[in-house]
Amino acid sequence: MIRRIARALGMFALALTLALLSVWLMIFHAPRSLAIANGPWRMSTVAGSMDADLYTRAVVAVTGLFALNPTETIYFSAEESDTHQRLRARCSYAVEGRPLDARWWSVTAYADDNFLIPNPARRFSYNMGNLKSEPDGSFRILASPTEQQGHWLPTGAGGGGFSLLLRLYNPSPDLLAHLATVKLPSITQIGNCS
Amino acid sequence: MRAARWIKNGCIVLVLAAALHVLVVWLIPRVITGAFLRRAAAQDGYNQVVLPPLPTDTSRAVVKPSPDLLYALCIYDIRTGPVRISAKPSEGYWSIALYGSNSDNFFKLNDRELHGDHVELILSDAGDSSDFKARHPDAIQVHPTSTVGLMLTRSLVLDPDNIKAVIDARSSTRCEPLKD
Repeated sequence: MIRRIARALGMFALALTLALLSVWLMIFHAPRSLAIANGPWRMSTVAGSMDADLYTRAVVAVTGLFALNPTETIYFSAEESDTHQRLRARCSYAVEGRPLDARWWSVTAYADDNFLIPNPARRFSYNMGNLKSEPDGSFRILASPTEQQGHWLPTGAGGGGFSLLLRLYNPSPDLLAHLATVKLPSITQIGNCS
Repeated sequence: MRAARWIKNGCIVLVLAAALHVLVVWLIPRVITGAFLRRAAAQDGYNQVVLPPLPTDTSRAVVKPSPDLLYALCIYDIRTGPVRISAKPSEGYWSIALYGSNSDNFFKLNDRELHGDHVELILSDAGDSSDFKARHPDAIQVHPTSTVGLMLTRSLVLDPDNIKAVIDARSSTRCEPLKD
């Protein structure tokens, strides 16, 4: 009898371990393959909406609770550079692009814990209202742990990673129709980073 | 005989693991949202408007807050009756959104979709057949997907100069049990 109970408990423990491991893989790794990809940026067309599937709801709860419905706001998240290298807080990156076709948009940096990054400049984001354009109409943000000339977006002094979140409020119908191909900012590492 | 028992036990473990996997994934948004709602309600109460400052690196209420938006929030609770919410948009982007206990955004309205200079919502249970239109002709009646959830307004702070105007507009936000 005791052996039977021990065997049942062992089987349950094994099943629970497998379940938790597979959930962890689906929540923290599979989203990259499930989402729409546009260069280093990823987004979900159902995040926050009533049409969200089980996995999208779980991912949103962990990484961006209380997201707006995609008909209102599109969230593009980047955890990698254009060359698919993990964004590292101790490295510097140029985020370059042209104004986006939405009523309002912003680029915000978040630490690995998904909260804003402490920095002496208290600069956490740039948006279409406070980015000065280059002569050709483009913009350039420098995400870096050290102060930079121009639009410096601090990445913090820690040794971990960081992510960028591009918010597009009231995106145009044309942008919504071309989420995978619309031209989004590039994310290029500057200099060496060991 | 021994091999058959191993195969049978292996199948039981896999089926059980699949069921537990689905259960855990289903629970994650409910547990996280529920914890947030309970914590916020314990701190500020149900059907009370909370007006936090602009998010900074010390803000820990919700992951990935926008540092460009001033939020107003209220944990609505329609278990004891309908709730009335009213808000006034500020200049620039503004929206009001309602979330259920599973984190779904089941209602949203932005300043461009608004008729008039403010919005009035009446949240009531789907089974509540009361006609609020006679007493609140401009109100939008909403049946939340859960009896407890979150109301969140987002007001864009264009620059440091307009933050006072945004704060003034936000201060008119109301969230209270419907009295009449």
